[in-house]
Amino acid sequence: MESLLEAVSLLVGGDRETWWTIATSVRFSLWSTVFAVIPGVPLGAALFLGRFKGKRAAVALVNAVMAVPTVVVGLFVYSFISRSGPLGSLGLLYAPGGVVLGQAALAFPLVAAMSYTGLQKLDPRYGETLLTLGAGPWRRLAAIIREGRYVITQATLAAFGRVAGEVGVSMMLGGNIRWYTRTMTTTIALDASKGEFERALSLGFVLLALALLVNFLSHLAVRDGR
Amino acid sequence: MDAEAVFEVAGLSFRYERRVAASCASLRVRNGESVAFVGPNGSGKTTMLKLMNGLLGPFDGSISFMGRPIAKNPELRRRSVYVHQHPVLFAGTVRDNLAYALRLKRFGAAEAEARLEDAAERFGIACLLDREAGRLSGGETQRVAVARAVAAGADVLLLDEPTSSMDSEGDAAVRSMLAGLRRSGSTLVFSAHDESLVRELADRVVRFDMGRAIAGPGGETE
Repeated sequence: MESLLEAVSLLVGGDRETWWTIATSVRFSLWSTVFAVIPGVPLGAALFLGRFKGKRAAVALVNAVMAVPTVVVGLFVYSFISRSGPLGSLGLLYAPGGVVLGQAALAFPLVAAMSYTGLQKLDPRYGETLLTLGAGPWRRLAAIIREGRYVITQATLAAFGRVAGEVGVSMMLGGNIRWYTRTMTTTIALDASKGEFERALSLGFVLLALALLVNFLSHLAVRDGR
Repeated sequence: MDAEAVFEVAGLSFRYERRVAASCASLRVRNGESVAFVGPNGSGKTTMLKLMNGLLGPFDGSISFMGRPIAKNPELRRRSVYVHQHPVLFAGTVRDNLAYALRLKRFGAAEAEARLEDAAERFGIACLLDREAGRLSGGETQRVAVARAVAAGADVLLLDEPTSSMDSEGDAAVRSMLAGLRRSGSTLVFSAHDESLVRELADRVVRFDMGRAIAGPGGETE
């Protein structure tokens, strides 16, 4: 009970480190969502519109990648941005850029798969009408994305929720460095391991509130899309 | 090759989920001709129309438009449009819909405006131009969809059941529009259940059964 009250007071009292960690997590999540959506939505839309051999295999691959554990994604990105990796010279490892890159890699297949699945629910006549009227592939892509904006909003929110709540990538690529790369989830993992539950609980409340907010907004997107 | 042929289909077979959804040994549609596809539901009429417009594939055999295979044939998209049984109009007004199709064909502003006004007048939709496209009746939607295609330069129309599920007023307006198109020399290929529409409009009938196009009077299919 005492820990609970202390957790609330950290939030209400405006504890600097707690709020810095929250702001950093949100900032990382927003950027990684943006970097996941930019290629993920067009890929999902292209899979939806495309008629090519191997389409089923491509969709299956995107779905499979979505299920890869966060630490495996972290490991994969680590191999690219570690000092001996091809992107080692960029200095992304144990830096905010590394966390954002890793989280984006984690969310990208989710955005692509959710966009593809959601767009499949659109009326197929829409794409056919664009094609028969002579719209080129880019125009069709843009029009489908516009028509499926509610689906894409949902995918974006799901991606944000996914990266805000993940711990493996942030820990592995960010190193959980205080006042630099520490996020809500890595703080929770660290504090809980030390038996210090106050800040972990306060951040847990924020994550819960964030998850509820994402779900609520997602619900609104679905409702408006009908 | 027939110089007058708009469409030439040869040895076509299209499978969907391992079943032959449409097949046609030979079919030629000549410029300015009006051809009706008739047959029971699920007999392959719609599939055939979509195949001819390059909306479905891949398929065995060949389909040519103006003497060239339809794949990557720019003339197909420039001159031919498929209109669904229940056409899709985009969000916005009727004017927005016509303007969008004209933009796709890269007409200049002045020519686009002239084409839009001309199509609106010709198809009797001038009074609908500022109406929300989503609020039109079935007959109005069908007329707007055809007007949109013709405004954008299509003179070969593939129409799927153009008068189905329409009230008598809508039915009459669409029939009148199609008769006008036929008189003006457009090439029409349409599917229909309505025998009176076929009698009124078709120069030739192609019958479909179990996905197979069967010869009609004057037809080449077998």
